[in-house]
Amino acid sequence: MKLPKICILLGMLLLLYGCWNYREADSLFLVTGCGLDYDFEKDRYRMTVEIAAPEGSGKNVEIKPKILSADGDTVFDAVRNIIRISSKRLYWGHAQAYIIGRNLAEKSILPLLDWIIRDAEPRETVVLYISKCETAEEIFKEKIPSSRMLAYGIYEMTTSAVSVPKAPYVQVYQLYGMLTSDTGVAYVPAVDITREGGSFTPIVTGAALLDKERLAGFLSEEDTRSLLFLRDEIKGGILPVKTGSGPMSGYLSLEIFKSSTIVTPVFQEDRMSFKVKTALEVAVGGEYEQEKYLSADQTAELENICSQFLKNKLEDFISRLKQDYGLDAVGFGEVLKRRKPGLWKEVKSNWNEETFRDIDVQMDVKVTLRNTGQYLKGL
Amino acid sequence: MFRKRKRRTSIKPYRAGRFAGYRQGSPGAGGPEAGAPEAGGPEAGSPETGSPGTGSLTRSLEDNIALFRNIFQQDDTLTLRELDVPGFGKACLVMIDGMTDSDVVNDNIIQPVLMSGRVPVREPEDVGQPKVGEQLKAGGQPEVRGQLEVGGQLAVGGPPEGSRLPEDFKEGRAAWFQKCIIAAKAVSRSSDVSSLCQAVIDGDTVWLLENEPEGLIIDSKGWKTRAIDEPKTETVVMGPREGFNESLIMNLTLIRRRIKTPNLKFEFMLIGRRSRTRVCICYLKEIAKESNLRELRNRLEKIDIDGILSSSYLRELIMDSPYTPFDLTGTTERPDIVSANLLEGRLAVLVDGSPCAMMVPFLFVEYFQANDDYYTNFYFGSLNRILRILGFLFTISIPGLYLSLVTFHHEMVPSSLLMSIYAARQGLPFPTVIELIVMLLLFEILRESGTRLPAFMGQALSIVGALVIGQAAVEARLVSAPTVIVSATAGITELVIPRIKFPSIMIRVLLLLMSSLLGLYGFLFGLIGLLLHLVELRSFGVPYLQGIMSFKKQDLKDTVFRGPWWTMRTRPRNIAREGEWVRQQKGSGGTGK
Repeated sequence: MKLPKICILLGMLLLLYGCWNYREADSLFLVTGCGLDYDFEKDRYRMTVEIAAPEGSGKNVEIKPKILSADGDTVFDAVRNIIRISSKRLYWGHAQAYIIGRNLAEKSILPLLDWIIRDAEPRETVVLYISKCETAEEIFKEKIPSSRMLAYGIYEMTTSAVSVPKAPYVQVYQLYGMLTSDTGVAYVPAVDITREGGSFTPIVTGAALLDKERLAGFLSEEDTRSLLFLRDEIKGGILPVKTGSGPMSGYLSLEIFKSSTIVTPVFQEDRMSFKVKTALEVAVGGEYEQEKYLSADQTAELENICSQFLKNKLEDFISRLKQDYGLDAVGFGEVLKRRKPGLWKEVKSNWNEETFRDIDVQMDVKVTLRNTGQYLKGL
Repeated sequence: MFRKRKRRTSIKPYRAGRFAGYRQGSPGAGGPEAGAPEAGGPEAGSPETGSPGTGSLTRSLEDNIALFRNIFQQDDTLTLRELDVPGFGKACLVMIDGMTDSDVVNDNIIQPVLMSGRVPVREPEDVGQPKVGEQLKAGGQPEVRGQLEVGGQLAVGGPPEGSRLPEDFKEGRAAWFQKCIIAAKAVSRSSDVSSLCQAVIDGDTVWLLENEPEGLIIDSKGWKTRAIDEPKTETVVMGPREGFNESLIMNLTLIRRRIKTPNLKFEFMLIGRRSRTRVCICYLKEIAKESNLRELRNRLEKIDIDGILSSSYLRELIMDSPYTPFDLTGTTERPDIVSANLLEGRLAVLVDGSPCAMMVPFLFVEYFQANDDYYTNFYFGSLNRILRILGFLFTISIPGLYLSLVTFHHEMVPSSLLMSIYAARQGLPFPTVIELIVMLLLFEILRESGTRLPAFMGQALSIVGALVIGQAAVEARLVSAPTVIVSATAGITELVIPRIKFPSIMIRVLLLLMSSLLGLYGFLFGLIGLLLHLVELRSFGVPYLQGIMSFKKQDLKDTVFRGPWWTMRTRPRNIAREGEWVRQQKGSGGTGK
């Protein structure tokens, strides 16, 4: 009889497997985020991780954040050294926020970035932050009176930035793409600690500008918004516009519905310049002077004011970018590479240092108001 | 209560050879057996065929009665009613108590026979005396009629005016009784002891007459059967509520009442050496595929078993792939489903004593079709069908998927879910795979014990099942709460389609084991294996996955979605006869599409 023989042989197969990757969830510690610093005195990396640790027993198990740190000669060494403290293996598949301390970032962010990309567990969709504090450890070590995972909180602050465009949302694979591009200019969200109600809370604020792998400087929230406008990454949010003067009045908030920015290189005679065309569709979000913008003329006037305001902001940002940093964070070089690859080959070697500082940028900002002036009477 | 009637004439002769004892002379055949009135010894039935006796009747009534007594030794249900018919001599009625309808025996057999004796009849040898009819005219008639009217019976009793007399029947006096006296629906003559015995067992009354080598088989079957009510396992929201019962003939009338065409054929055959169960093949002659019919007959004829108690016996005996856990024949207790199947060109097999009809060919997609789909709005029917398919997919895959995700592919579980699973698993003694297997096993035990449990014990079961196993096990930290949820979900979704229960359980356990070895890879290997098996299956030569694996528009209209009737112009492919696939012509229906 063939069948029993086949069944016995198949049954024997069951004894051969070694459960090569069978891991119960409770045999691991979930890492939610980590911070990496460099101890220049000891000459070692210092890894701080936040893990989701169970507290309590029986039915009342609660998952609470727990901070562990360990030193190591390399990043991976430090990661493995944590196991000696935690007793369980760390699982990095659910880590969301990787923070690099300012001290280390001023030297290089590559040790952590390289490990994230090479190792199998960390995802390439996570976000790398640069701490405005000297070390990343400070951000984790601040006592937070909540059971929320700090790293998840930081990550959520970044993803919800779509409606508050004050910090960029750059995932690690995008960062990697920016760093390996010809200009090598990149930016990542910056994280800081703010004192609120007696306790310290981490906050994602602005961006950190990277020149190759080194930190070049931090951008303020306003500059970050300008950067996002220029890179056409604004998907919504509020744009406060100053329309008058005085302490209480004068600010008008515009709610952004649609924003598009197109950068095109322009060649006139020998001179190369860039034309930036920004079109914005907004609605008046409130706080404006009563019965001021009801007619078509008034609306057109308001549109002009807003366009001019935004134009000034963007032009100001570009000029500071050119002078203070000499870093093409907006990506003019990328545009040129796409349009004129031949020309790009000639200028790319000293693009940031020379050419970018010299180029002219013509701003053309057009703000369109929607849904305003539809009622006959204001408040 | 209604009578059970047998159609002897519909038995095809080519099957008679197989059941040697079953063949008998048809009523008009003239009894060729009478020519050889060899006294059959009172032998017991041969163990091989199970036929009750052999040989022929003798002329002696006493011998014949003794013969029956001998055959039915130790069977006290045998009833012998001896009569003395004036002018004819002694006679005897042989029947089995409980199988016959007393009203028929009393009013339609005994009374006319006794009445017939009131008419002076010559002995068969002295021909030439005045005929009975003349005497009746002379004055015997009023008397007889008067008595008949007192008895409340019309048209029974002695031969009416102008009818033929016993001596007109060259075949003998038995023929006279058969044709002129006995007021039963079917009466036949036979001298073959085995067929007489079989008739007695079937519930007919055998009428033996002194000095006659032939007995009459009088149809008098009658016993209590279950009423026609809605099958408990196949309830319907809207639609007919009739269901089959255990009487074959009644079941056939339920089908006949739905398809009123002479093309609806019922072929009888006997299966079971001892049970001698009547089995009926139903089909629509113009639609059913001839080759399928031949194949079905062939497979049924090959069955050599001593008893058939349900159509499920047949199902396992005629399946194309005997080892598969999937059904390759459809089963239903509802005449409307059988009728719908017949109209699609399928064949149905009904078995006497079983309310379950069997239909072939059966396709996988039919597991997911319910008669309710066709009786309700087609959107709603489609929705329900999708739910059933989802239920099947869930029940086979949930435990395996859960296990793969939480033990192999942590990255695929959302962080917050993984954390709650992580919290729930703290300090548990057993690995997830053991937990799952034990919980699924417990669910199946609860289900199985609930199936056959008397209703008054059900409460105890549900309390123990829900509270002790569900809640207490989690609280005592024996199993994790997600495992209980997963196994309960798998168990509940298993019940969405009760018919596919067993294959679901089997596939689920296999997928769970595969997942525990290789995670999602193992799960997928298991699914591929399942698909290969399904693709390989055939039911009466029709690919089992037909309708699911094809991408023809017309085929898909009655699979995942139930298309509106005006779009379903053709029958399912390969089932009906070649060229008979069109169910409705273009332009039929109110939409005129």
